[in-house]
Amino acid sequence: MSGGSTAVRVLVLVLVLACAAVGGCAGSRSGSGRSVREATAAERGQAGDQSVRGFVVAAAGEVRVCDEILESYPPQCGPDSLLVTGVDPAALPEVRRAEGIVWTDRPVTLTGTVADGVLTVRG
Amino acid sequence: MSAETYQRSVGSVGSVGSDEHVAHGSTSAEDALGWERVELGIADEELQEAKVDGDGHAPVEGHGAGDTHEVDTLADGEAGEGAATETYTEADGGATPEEVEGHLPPEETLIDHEPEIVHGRDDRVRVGDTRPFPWRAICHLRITTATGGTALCTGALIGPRVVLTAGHCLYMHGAGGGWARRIVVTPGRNGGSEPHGTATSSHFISTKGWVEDKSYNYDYGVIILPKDQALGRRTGWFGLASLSFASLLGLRINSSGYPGDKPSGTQWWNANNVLAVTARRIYYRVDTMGGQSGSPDWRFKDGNRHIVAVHNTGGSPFNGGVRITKAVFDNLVDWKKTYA
Repeated sequence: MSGGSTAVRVLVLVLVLACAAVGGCAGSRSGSGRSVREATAAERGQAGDQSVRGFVVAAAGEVRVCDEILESYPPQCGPDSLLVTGVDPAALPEVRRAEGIVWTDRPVTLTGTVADGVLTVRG
Repeated sequence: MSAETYQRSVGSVGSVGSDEHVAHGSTSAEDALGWERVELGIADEELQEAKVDGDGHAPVEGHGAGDTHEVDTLADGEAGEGAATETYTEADGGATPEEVEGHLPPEETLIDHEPEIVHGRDDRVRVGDTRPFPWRAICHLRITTATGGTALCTGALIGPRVVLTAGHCLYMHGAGGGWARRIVVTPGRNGGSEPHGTATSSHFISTKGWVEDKSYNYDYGVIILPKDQALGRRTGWFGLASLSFASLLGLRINSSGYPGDKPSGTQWWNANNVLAVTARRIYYRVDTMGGQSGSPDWRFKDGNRHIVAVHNTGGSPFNGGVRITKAVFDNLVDWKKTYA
């Protein structure tokens, strides 16, 4: 094992992971769509539709898309989230239900406009 | 390897060095010998706590049924010595589900990863016998929410009367949120079997950073069991460790909890490497699902089990937990002593 090259590889790996962990790397997510955090940041400088990819949680008459879910059962939406209008959560693929809460275990992509913490999906 | 840092109050002194802080757990009440934390250099994380308005780790105390919340005060803590007697093997045969050897994972598995809660194949393994330690110190939590609903989480005994879990299992944000009314704690539950009994509590403590600011960096707290229901005396409890960035990155951690997608009340274990470390969180591909919040992420080393993080999130880019930083460690040790 080469000590120098290994150290560089480890450093690069650490930087990539740290960047991914804080959600600050544009384009770091696979799948289609931005994270909630990225979409919220882009909201300030972009008009028009955005594709946002995240977990959907519908609770207490409110639908939200979130970067992370808090893993109680049923789960709760994490702090980085957008209120969603124009989506029937029950119509999303592979939804789960418990205690009156509907959620997706996998991220889904929603496309619409983002303004003031609300993702408005049309059609 | 960084040295562990601890001192036992009865006179035996452990090694001293680095910024790691370790409190030992106990496999039974008889093992409690009173370890005391030793003040050493404080990691940089301490200086970054100001990102949340004020001190995010400041304790906030909750009581079920809407009682007034008061701010706790800090005090020194203690823990018991761990005496590992690992007898468990996986339910379906296979290796002993404990590993501590840390290493960096292959790079190709870390980049451009589709966020999932169960990453790729679901590698969770059911704990067939929850009576041995440490499985008996892992608790099924049945929560009655502020609105009277029911939720499930996981906790871990870190003292005779103190159960560590995620803050969002104690205090929920959003519509109908607030402090839980009560939580039924069942250590080592195994389906319909409750081999170590249950306790019900309405006394909870979390942090200002979670309760007031909803920051998942501070998403942890404890359940205080009634004095006459100190279940940890029967089951033993985990130790705690505040590990450095270098010690955490690549560390193989264990996690076990009570997911809601499996048969009711069954405990499921998984282990994997820590893939990323930030000032207050760690990220990993340990497979988890709803219900596993509050599960202990622990290191098994030299016969001792130390919780290094509290699982709380699933998602992008990995699943994650709140690090036992020095500030978290201090809070937990203080709560342990206050409610010994």
